[in-house]
Amino acid sequence: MKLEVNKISSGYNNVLILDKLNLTVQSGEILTLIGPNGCGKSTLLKTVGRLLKPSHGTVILDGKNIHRMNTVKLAQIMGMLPQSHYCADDLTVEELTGYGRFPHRRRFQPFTAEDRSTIENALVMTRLQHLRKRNINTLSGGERQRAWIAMILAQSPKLLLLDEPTTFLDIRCQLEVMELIAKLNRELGLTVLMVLHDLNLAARFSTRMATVGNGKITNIGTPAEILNCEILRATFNIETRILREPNGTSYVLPYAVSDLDS
Amino acid sequence: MHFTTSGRRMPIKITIIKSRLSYRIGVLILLTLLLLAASAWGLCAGSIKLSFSEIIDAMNSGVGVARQIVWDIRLPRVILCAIVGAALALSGAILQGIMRNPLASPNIIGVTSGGGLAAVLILVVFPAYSQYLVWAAFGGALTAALAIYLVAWNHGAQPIKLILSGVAISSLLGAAITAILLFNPERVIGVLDFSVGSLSSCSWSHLKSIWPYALSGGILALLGARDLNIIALGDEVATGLGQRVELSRFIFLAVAALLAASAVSVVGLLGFVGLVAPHMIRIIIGADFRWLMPGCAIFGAALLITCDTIGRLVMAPLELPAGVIMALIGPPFFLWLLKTRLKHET
Repeated sequence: MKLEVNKISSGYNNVLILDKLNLTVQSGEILTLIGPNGCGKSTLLKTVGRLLKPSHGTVILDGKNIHRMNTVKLAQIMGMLPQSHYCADDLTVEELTGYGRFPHRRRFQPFTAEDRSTIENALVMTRLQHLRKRNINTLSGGERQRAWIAMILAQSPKLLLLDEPTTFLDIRCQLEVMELIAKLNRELGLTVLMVLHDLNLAARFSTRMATVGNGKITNIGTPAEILNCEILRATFNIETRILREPNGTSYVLPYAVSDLDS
Repeated sequence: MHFTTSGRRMPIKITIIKSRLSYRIGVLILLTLLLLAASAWGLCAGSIKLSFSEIIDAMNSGVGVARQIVWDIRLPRVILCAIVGAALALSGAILQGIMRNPLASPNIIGVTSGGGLAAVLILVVFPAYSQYLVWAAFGGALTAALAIYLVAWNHGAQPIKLILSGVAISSLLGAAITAILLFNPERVIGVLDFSVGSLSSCSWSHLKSIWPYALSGGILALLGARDLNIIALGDEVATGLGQRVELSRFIFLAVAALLAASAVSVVGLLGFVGLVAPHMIRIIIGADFRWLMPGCAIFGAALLITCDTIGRLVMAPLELPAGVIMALIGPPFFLWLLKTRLKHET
């Protein structure tokens, strides 16, 4: 699933946030968008996820324009986890996962064997089999996020769009969710485009990272290339120290706000 | 709820599926029995008491006082109560679903006040046209709903904007109603029945004028349960699953307006069923719209028949409007349900 974003201009209520932005997500990679609040990374994700219609430009998924595609057909190949989601008090993990089959089912058609096995696989992948009868609202934050990921997995997508999937989670749950995303990428070959705030998590689990600023992609490259004092200063206005381990993993240690006057 | 905490203790999957399913089927059966009992009571009770066998005889005979009472007065009234109660409850359930707001009800989409204003205009200002009362109320209700949708529209109608514009337009229409009544004090009594939700003057002709709309609205509401479940996950998630959220919300709003308009046009301002019945049923049967919708329809019907029958009995030979009874017994019952539900959750 190769995703090409071509000269996208997009925003809310005539205020354009993205300005002729270009980006290519290669098939099978995890590409993470980073940038300060309001830089347009969520806007980009929403435009790709057809929540926003771009005023200019196209988003092409495997040769097809996303905003011209049938929304049900698109939902069969692209799963999206936005920041805001709700669910009823008495919804169980299994029922929520079952909702992921919505784009594949006709009205009044009962679950087919294929639906059932897809739901089962989604529960296995997210390690939620033993919690299938639990109410979503009785789960821990990490389990709950995994349940929502199980739902989009049941769509049997090839591309995942995730908007800050680790927000509000404690550090263990953050790792749990990130390891799950890495596993889906590795074992199912899912292409992932996501937004993260935690630079170290992003660097640890991404194939490539891209910085967003002023409605454009300002830098794109491997985590080792993007975790760079100059790039981070230009993107976030922060001073950082970068630690590089012999195995190639990089860590960032932010320690001060840059002095904008100098 | 106690039901799902039991699921935690017993992780055997078949048992849970069966018990939850059979619980919900059981609730629907109980509600149906309740509806049948309420209907039978509504036919039997009144200033002239009839036993059930007398009713059967009266229906078979074709002549006599008993037949007149049952066939011309009580039967249309019970059926009308059932239709109106079901329509209002379904309308409220739809609105609470598409707006994801527990306070949504037929009142806030302006249907009640729109229908009310049109009815008051006919009754007070143009009494010569009072044979068109039902149609005027129907038109007023739908016009108000449409106006609210248009005011809320801005690249899509967000639920919160719908609610706020609904509240604003409703109070505007309410002010107009009050003003008209104040300037025509001698006609207030004639309007009072309409403004408190009374079924005292209803007949087969009322039934004939609304049943096609109530029925088609009801069928659409039941068919849409699956989409309401998806919309309940949030607009963004629903879009991600391939739901056309804006289009669905517009269609559901139209269906809710149609249901409420058909109810308001014959019984007047009787909104409380639409607010409370969905909550009661949600507490009992759960939030899954595939079960909630039929539950609401049956319960709304039973509730209104009961309230109307009580209203006929408590101060006989005077009649208290069903709306008044509803407002008296509805809230305490609702509060009791809320309290017991909270106990289960802690």
